[in-house]
Amino acid sequence: MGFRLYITRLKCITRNKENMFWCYMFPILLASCFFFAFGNIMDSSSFETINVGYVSNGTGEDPLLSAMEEAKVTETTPLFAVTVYGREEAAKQLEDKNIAGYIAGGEKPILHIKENGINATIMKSFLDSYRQMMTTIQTILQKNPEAINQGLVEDIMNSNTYIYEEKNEKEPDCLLVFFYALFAYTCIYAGNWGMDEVINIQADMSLRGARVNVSPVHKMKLLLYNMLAAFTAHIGSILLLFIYMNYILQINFGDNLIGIFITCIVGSLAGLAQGAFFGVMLKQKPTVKSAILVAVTMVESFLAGMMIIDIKYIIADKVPILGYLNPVNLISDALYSLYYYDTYDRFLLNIIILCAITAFFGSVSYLRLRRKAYASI
Amino acid sequence: MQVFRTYFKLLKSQMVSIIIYGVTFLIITIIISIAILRDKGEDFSIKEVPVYVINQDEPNEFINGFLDYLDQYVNYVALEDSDEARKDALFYRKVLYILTIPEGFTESFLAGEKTELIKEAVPGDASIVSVDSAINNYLNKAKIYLNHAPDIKPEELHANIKENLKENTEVAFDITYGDEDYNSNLFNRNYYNYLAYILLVCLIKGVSSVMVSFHNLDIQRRQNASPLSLESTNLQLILANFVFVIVYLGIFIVAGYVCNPYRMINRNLLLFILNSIVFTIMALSISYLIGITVKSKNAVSALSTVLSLSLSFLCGVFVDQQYLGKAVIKAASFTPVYWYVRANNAIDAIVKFSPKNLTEIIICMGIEIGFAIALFAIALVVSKRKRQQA
Repeated sequence: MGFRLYITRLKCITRNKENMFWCYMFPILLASCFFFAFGNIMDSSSFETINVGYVSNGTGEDPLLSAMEEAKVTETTPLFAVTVYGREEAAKQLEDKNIAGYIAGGEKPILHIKENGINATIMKSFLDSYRQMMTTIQTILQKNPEAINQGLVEDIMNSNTYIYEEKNEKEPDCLLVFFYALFAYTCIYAGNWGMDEVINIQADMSLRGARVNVSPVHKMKLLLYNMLAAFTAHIGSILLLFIYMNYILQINFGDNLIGIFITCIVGSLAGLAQGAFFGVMLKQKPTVKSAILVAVTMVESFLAGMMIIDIKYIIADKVPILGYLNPVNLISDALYSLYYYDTYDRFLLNIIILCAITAFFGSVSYLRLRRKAYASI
Repeated sequence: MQVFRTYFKLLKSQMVSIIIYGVTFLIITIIISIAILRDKGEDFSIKEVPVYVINQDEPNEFINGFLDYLDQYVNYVALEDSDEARKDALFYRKVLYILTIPEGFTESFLAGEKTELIKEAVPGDASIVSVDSAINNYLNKAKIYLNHAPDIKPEELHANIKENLKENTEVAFDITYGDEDYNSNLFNRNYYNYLAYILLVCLIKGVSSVMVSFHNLDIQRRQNASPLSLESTNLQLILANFVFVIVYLGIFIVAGYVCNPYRMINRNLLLFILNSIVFTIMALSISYLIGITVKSKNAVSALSTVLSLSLSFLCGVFVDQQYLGKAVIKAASFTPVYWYVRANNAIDAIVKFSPKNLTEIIICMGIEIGFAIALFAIALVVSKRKRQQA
């Protein structure tokens, strides 16, 4: 009997094309959008040589010009492609956007640009360090005029790096926050299904509820099977999203699969419970209810950094309690702690709070639903 | 004008969601656009990066001088001395950079041996690079002094390097217009770029839902049997569509003008407006096509979200086009939204109006119109076939 109720409900749910679309396809679509839009920001290999104009100050030898021509990003990619122009020609080239800027050479070179941007910053810092080198040479020559014969210029030319980056696999990557928040959003999106289930069981909320109430099946038993069906259908969408993100988009979730599955399961349950809670507590029409639930879910995702990443850090800094009460944030933090920390303390903390929130929503909904009878509806 | 009136009666059912979209969008866009304005102005000033320093070496003159120099680039943050606290701080971005000076660093460095500082940083933040180069700059200079002026004293070393590193290149902006124009255009560019998203969502939501109702098979049969001629019906529908989109766009144009902190009417703004009108016509033809091909309203609302979000992400509405990957840009250039955004960026960049830079904008707008015509032609064919089947 129970199994049949479960299967029937599962069929019902999977035949609701609209809900299936928002749950299965929409997160995958958003993940792809995030991936294509942000994927390139971190990729430094997309550097393109900057076209620069150079206006000579007239003297024959120009160390700045040769320094610019020699500068390289990698072995094969030069930093600048320098063309020497006359003053007016350079201004015209800049106007027509053929060059990113031009440099008026001389003792104190001046950088001419049209707008700020990455290229402008690169050109400026190159010139800064060039000038700093020149003054360094001057200062040293004052102290030790012989230095020029002792390899000073060579020393200046080859600069070393004195920083060793402690690389571990687990870098605190801010792009991950976007993807984890999206994943958490998908978990909490189960709310819509949880809400449907309680609406379908309350006689004053839906016609199906009224029908179910006169049937001989125990209401709580039916609700349990319905919820189970909703959970089954929903966890499928999360697994699909996980497979897509982890194996196709290659988003790093860490290696702890068991931890990730625990997060998925608890997250999905939390979503169902939140939906049930709003379904029971609100007395408006079903369409209004679900609009409110969507709005709540969206605000939670917003606060967890799904749209603007800094929001998450502002909340962690100013009102940490809000972070701990927000299920979307808890799920994304749980995933992040699995990936980032070596210990499980923080992961467990997040999961335990999430369980507590789920239990709270679940038991309030249960208490409000049980033994309800309707004299007239 | 029955059809005309019916159009707006049907539109009413979508009005609430369209208005909510519009208002939310307006608030967010304006906040973001203004925030960008403020950021942009300080491009060449030094942003202080929060840094935590762990000094495992003996305190000495050399390190003091180094840290004193670094202070002008970074903001030293105090943290609890535990691994957990440091990880948390990086996680929540209280610090972006943790610098460890290992034991014996000064001694080996002064002796000319190879030695390194250890960094742990939040990856992907541009300001990290500036800290790296500040550190390397200082140490490279120190090395040179040590090699070529070996009897230099630590205080003197520090003073000299600090003096050398003060050198700064003068930047001249080759623009003939003032900050006001620059900022106003920047705001408008962001505003009109984001507008692409909201226009797509709301036009598809509004126009397509109404069109779905009109193209319901039974309704169409009833209309074909009515004394109202097909021409008149279509004319009224077209008119109603235009009235709706023009009013909707008009509201946003006015709102954009009013909310711009550097409000001014210049030629760039007129071009932005012209471009948005062209785009709206294109969006209208997309909506029309969806309205007559899709059967259910639920599908319309799904399509409006999916199309608007994916096009906006791929074509550089939310993320500047210069940051998108080459392959993404290539793919995006097959969609009209890409050309709209590209035209906006080009309009923002114009300082002196010349035939050359105007041509680029006109080409972009021309491509948008081309898309509009193509989509509309498809819509006409579909609509004709549907009528024959009705």
